[in-house]
Amino acid sequence: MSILTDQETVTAFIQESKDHLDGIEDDLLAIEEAGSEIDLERVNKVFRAVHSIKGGAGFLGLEKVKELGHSSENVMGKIRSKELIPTPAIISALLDAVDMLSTLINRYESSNEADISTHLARLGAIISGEPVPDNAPEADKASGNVSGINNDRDNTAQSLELERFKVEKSVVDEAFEAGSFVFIVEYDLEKDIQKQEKSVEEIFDTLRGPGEILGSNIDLTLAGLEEQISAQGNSLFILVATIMEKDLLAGFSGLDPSHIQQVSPEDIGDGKTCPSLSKDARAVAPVTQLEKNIGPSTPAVEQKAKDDPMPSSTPNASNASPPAANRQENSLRVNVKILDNLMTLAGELVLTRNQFMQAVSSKRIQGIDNICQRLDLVTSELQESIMSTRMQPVGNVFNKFKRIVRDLSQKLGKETNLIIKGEEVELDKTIIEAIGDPLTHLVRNSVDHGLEMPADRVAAGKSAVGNLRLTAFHEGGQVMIAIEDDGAGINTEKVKAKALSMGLFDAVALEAMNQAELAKLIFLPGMSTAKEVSDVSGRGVGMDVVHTNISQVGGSVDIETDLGKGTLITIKLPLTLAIIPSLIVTAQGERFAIPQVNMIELVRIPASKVKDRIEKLGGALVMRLRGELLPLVRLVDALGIQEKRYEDLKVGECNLDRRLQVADRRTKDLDDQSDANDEGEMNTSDGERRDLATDRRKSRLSAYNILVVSAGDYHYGLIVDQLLDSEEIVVKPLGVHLRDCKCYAGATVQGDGRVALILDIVGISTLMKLKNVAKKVQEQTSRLADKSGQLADIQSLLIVRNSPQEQMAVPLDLVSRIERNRVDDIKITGGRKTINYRGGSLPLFSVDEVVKVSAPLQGRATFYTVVFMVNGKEVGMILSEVVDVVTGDFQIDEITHRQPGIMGSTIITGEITLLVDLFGVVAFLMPDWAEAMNTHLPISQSANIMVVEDSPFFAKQIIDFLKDAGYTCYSAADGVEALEILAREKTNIDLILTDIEMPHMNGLEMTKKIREDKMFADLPIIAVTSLCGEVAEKRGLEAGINEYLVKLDREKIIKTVRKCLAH
Amino acid sequence: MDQEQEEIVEGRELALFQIKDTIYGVDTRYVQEINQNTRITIVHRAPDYVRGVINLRGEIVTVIDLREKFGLESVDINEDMQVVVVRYKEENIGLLVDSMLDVIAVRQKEISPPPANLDGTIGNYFEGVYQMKDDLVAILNLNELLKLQYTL
Repeated sequence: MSILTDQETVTAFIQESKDHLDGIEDDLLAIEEAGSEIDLERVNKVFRAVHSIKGGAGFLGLEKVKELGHSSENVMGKIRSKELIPTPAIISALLDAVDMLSTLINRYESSNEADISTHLARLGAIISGEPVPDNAPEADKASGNVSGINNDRDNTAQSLELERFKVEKSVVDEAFEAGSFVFIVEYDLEKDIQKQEKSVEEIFDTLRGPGEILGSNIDLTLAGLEEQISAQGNSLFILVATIMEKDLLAGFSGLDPSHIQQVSPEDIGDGKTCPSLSKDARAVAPVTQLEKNIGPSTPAVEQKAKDDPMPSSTPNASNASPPAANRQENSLRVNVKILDNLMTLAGELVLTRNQFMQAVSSKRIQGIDNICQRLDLVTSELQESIMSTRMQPVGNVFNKFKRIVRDLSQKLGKETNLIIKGEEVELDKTIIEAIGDPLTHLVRNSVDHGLEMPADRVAAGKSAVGNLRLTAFHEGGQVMIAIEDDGAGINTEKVKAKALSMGLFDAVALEAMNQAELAKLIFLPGMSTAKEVSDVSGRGVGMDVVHTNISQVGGSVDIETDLGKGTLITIKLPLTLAIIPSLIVTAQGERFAIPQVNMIELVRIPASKVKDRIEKLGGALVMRLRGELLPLVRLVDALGIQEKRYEDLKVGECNLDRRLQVADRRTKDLDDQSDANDEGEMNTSDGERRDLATDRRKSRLSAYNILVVSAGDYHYGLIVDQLLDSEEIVVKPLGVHLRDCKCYAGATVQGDGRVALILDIVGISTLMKLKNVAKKVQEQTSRLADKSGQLADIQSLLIVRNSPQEQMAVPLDLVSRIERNRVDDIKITGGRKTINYRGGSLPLFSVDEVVKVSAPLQGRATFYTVVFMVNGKEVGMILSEVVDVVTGDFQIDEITHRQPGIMGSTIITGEITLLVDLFGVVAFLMPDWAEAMNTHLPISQSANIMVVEDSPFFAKQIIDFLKDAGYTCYSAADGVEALEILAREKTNIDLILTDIEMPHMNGLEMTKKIREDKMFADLPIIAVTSLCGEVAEKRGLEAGINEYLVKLDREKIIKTVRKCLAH
Repeated sequence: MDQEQEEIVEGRELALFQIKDTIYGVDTRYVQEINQNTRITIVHRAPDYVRGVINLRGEIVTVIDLREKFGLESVDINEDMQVVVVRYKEENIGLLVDSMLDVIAVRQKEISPPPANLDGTIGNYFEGVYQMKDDLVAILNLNELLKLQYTL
């Protein structure tokens, strides 16, 4: 047989074999799971797959592949005939053989030199019913085993004579005449009978099926069959006549072919002796040698190989696609439907181009509009279709974990129940490839370090079988992958100790961290808490690499752990990398793209507020945002862009101020331009641009544009000169000379043909060492939050106007989004104003319908709609102007201007500002809605709620709507008073709503005090605060607060109160 | 006949360009195209010798400032400047030159090793020199020139 006929055939064979092998693994695992309830269809499938590979290999002269395939096939044959129950050990041997096959096929040129003896020995042992080593045999261990087998055989085999079988020569001759083959079959009492839990009778029965038993060395008519065998040197010899060939008989009887000796008519010619088995056995003593013989020289095998209806690779070979050495990696399977669709679209594109060219050459301008529209459509569809060809189900990665988890559990002596969900979720090919390794690491980690040993699990009151859940699902335009185990969890004390010993953090900082923060530390370099670097988890990939790898594809990792209960790791991934939505910004006139996934919000700080909002912390700039501090970095600094106009300026504080002046002078012309941009953005009504939009009226010159971006586990602010537009950009890689630039994630070509660089948000933060700043900032924030009263009760208000003279404000937290609409689009139906919005209609209200204020819309073409939720429904408030967002501690006067629709008034920037009660306006105009708002609350279940709030204004607001909802309220001005009331009323109080920032005793302290008393351990405590932020929230929850809510969000508060009371 | 054969084997084409006062040549086998698009986007924090990137029909091509490479002073872009796009290790790379001159055919044996006074790193950038009528042409060794200076 010649090696390698032609390249095409080989490629086709390899491709096909890989396809077969891919499927086999899953099937084998399923077969293992089914255990004794053998699923014939699956077994057949594997059988056929191995058979095809064997056939093809034989054709191409890949001897080793053929041999291994052959042995595997034999084992499968026995499983098929239900003689062999697929135990984990057997499946392991098969899986390893399949792996080896895969390796051999990948390196087919040198496959004939490979050593596959251990695999063959294992499979051989299975066929002959010998005990199989549980784990993959290390080469030396296995060979030791194998030689043991042979020694056995040498000892037990003995010379035989025909009379041993108590059979007449004529009987044997008859069998030959009938065209049967005659074999001597040797069973070892211990290995083949007792260990297999078979009885001697069963063996005889089995052999009677396909053939005729001519005789044996024991007397079936006598009792004590096993004793008879042991008297015969532990060997049972049976003389069988059958039409089966040796191989098949071996498969059928469950014996190694070496235990079966074919008898030829000549052998019994003199009627005296049979060839001695022992001789045969000795001849094949070293199994390796034996196995070498099986392949080409055993007639039965050769026969089989020839008889194979030339493997399916042959027909494929003729029409196989052009070969490529590593086509597996570079080729992709695409659904034919998608391909057809692409063809159609390409046709459309050609058609459109023709039309376009015609229109241009004939200078007909009229049609061009239509053509452009069509071009736009076709292009988007084409883009979408092409993108979808890159999408691959995440199951491609998930499915390999079945094997990994199985092997690993076996190795570690654990039992793991792997639950996979969401295999059908699709991700871009690049991402699928990128997450393979990190996921494998995480899964291995979960099995290795997460799940405990069965005994420990039982001791901990869990089931012995550990659960590992792998889930993929869509959330918010991203794909989430969750790896959840119910194991031991991460010992955060250990993590803490490690971090301390490595000097990553000081003790104080570590103490301030909560569980989640501590758990996350394992993603830092060098923080592996595994004491031993086992080959299981220590494959050169640390958790930090997992983190880096996932960040590189624009994803993020989160970890939640509960000591003793388990760990949940969540990976957030973008759907695709090739085309991403991004925001275009400028710095010193240069354009950069920032991926939207990295962006949290846009903040614009007007010049007048810069002093209040931006501070310095240990030399680093920080920004105050809703009570939290954020590290700030200027894009020009991050990229080292020299400020061309003032290159002589020193960097630092003074530079900032100067820069503002610079902006004052030069931005006039740019402003007109960006005004136009703003218009465009308003129409797209993206919530993220709220700040930009709301502030634009107020001194847009000299304002700071800050992008709050996420660098994985912390946020920072990036100061840019201008925000241009949001665009879908095509990501292109940068050349090799630029790979060391950590600031860029790639580049993109803009509409004008110029290149814009895509910023790597994580890279910039690393470069600028923002992590340290973020850490400092967090400490600072924690400290501030600790000092009660230091941070005032901060409210964010949206300043709006209907006329220049009257200033109004609405609590920003209630606003879902702000839009700009055209007055012409307002429809008046049944006396109510609405506007069409995303296929539905948005009811519009106006403050002047309730309160005597100036009407909006006077002499205007456009207006602003502040959208908020009432009763789960979106409602818009018409306003002429949206001025600003102010944040601060406002003294609210709730008496002077109080009326339906107005909560009160306050002074903002020196002007009296009416606080609009959005719900009040709706309730006044639409009493039915307001009723609906309350009637769905079960008033019957009236309860006593204590409201702890230092500001009488807020207290009144909350108490008012709680009363409306049918609850009885107690009021306390601070924690001290609340504790007094609680001591008096005890269990009369069903729930506490509390502010956090209060004089005397703040909400946190109060909660801690309350929780100290067992009686109130389950008393629901809800924080209603403006001090919202992750850190604040974490502290609250740690103190024992059940829920964290934003002040004045009436609906949410009522909902939460009801939810808490229902418990 | 034999003579001709030899010429074909040994014949090379050099694309000639000028930087400051010197004429350089690059083997046309490597040259993909000569591009007048000098709308280069600056890449901050890139190595000094990288002038920036350009868009070459959708591909992002790194442009190397040969002046920086040769230890000369970098100059602002002017309209004579062109980008010679060469293929190097599966990637198109642009070489920013002061002006393009000509393409000439030369014989291998007419190329002599670089003069000994061109030592050091810069010396490695040249595989040899070719004597034209009045001028000397320094032939670029792209492998050395475009090798990454620091690798991970």
